[in-house]
Amino acid sequence: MSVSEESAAPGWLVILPADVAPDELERLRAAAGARGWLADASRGEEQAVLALEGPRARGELDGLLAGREADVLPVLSSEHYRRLRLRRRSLALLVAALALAIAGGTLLPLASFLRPPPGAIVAPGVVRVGDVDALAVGQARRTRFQDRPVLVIRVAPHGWRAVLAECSFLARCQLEWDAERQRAVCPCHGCEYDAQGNVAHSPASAPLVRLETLEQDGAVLVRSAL
Amino acid sequence: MIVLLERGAGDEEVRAVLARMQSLGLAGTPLVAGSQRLIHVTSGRTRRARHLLPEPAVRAILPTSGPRVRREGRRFYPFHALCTSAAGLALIGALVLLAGFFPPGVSETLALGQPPPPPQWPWYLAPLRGLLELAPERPAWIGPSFLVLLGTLVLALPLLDGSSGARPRGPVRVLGMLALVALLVLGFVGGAS
Amino acid sequence: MNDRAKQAGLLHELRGALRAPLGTGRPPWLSFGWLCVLLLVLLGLSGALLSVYYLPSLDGAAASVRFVMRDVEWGWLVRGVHRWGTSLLVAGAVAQLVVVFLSGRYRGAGAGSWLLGGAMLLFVLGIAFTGELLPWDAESVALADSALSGTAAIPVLGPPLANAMRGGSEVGAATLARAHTAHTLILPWLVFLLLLLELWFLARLRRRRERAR
Repeated sequence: MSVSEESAAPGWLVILPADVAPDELERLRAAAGARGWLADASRGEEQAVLALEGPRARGELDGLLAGREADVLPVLSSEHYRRLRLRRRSLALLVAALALAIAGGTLLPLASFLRPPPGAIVAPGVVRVGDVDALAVGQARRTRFQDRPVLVIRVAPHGWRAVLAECSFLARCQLEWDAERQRAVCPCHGCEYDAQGNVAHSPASAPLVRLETLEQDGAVLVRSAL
Repeated sequence: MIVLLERGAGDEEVRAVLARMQSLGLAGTPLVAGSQRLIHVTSGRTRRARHLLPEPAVRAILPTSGPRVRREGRRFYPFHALCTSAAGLALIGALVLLAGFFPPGVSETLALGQPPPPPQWPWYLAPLRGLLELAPERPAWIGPSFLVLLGTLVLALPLLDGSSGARPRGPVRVLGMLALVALLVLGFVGGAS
Repeated sequence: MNDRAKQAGLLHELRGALRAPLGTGRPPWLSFGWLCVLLLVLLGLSGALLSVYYLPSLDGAAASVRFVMRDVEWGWLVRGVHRWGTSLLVAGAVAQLVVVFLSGRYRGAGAGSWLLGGAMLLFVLGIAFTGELLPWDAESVALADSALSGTAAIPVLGPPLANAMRGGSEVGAATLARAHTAHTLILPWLVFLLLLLELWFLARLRRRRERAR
């Protein structure tokens, strides 16, 4: 709001407390009129308003009000009010967009947090690996059991094998299942094991640790022999 | 609330706006000051005046709750609400950073038959630990009882210090500072052991 | 029609309260007290999320915590926020008490607020401590042992108190169960009640101060 706009608009609105006495208000209006303002006043529930127009400067208003508890608002152009409304609306829109982004950023991770990951702990020592139908015959799934990586292989429609997916040679690298060749392959030194955990290709020498599996309620469970 | 009308609004337009206000449950007094024409909303749910904006004769709706508002501080919304939200977001951000860079650990379950390792007390109980370390071994009840006594003293502080005035009395303040320093020292003692 | 008018009146009042000026004193969001309230809310939420996966049994506890940290999506974040939040909460509560002490507001009319604040700090420490026990790994067991022997050393009340906390003669499943109930149910509700009392107290103080003006 530039100063030139203020002085170009000779209109002022003086807001007074609602409990101002009616004759007090009338006296103010008369005093304003005596000083050359065109004035009108009214009392309401929330406040009393004294509308003024005149060529007088803003400073003269303070003299008129004489330290009374009052707010003084300038009357501005329509263009100005339109711009103010636009600014307020765009700020509200910005805040709303930000709030939505934050809400989304919180709710989406929350949803994925609540989605049970595979390998949910069913009871201590038993891990539910997945649904029976989730794996095809010859496929394997990687999961964890008591902090160790485990490969669960479906060798037959109701036959499952679970082995510790740690290579028995040197570095204990994590094994990967090659479904085409039905082998557990170690990426470090080229060791290979078959679906039973026996060594299929050197340099490994010891077979893989086997874990007990059982099918229950359409799910595959792994129980520890660890 | 003040309904500011366009310059050159005539009596017809004023009446139309007044009629619309009545349909909204508002009452108002039209004011004329030179070329200024406005309507002071005197009663009713003044927030509904914003429905008057589409009227062609209305230039602006000026909210005015009274001069005391500006004197008494800022409103909760939008100022304080946004500030509180910003502070809250900053806090969550700090927590997320801490969680990411310093994740808490969890060690192995205690195997049967194995003796437990020496206890690691959390930092906020370190002063407690320090006090217990410094307390004499025998009789064993001195350390914990002293703690209980200390706790009661702190809670009952207002009863013990009945002074008034801007700051707590000199001796109380000194004692308080000493207590804080002692707490810190005990914390170090408790943390080091 | 009467009910609707009343409902509309309540909403109007709420809106009015939201738009009311808050006074020129220090804004509420700049105090340690509000930091603590915010942290309590965050801890409650993260705790609720963690309790979705936590298993309060001797074998399951540590395993479930490890599960949350490794396999659950964002689990590390929720647990991290929960742990760090407690540290910040304790620090904030102590800071708030120190500030109140230094400004002398604990005397006279503020005595109730001081008492409530002190009690809340104690209960928060209790929540934090029982929380440390929940993973039930080797360190938690050691902590439980140490704390219980310390409690038992208090004259007169010590041994029965320690027994009640331990849930028997040995540290075991009962201890974990009691720690879990205390941490998730009893102590948080107590703190919540104290917090409501404190807020009511502060509102009363503010009203009294305004009337005095």
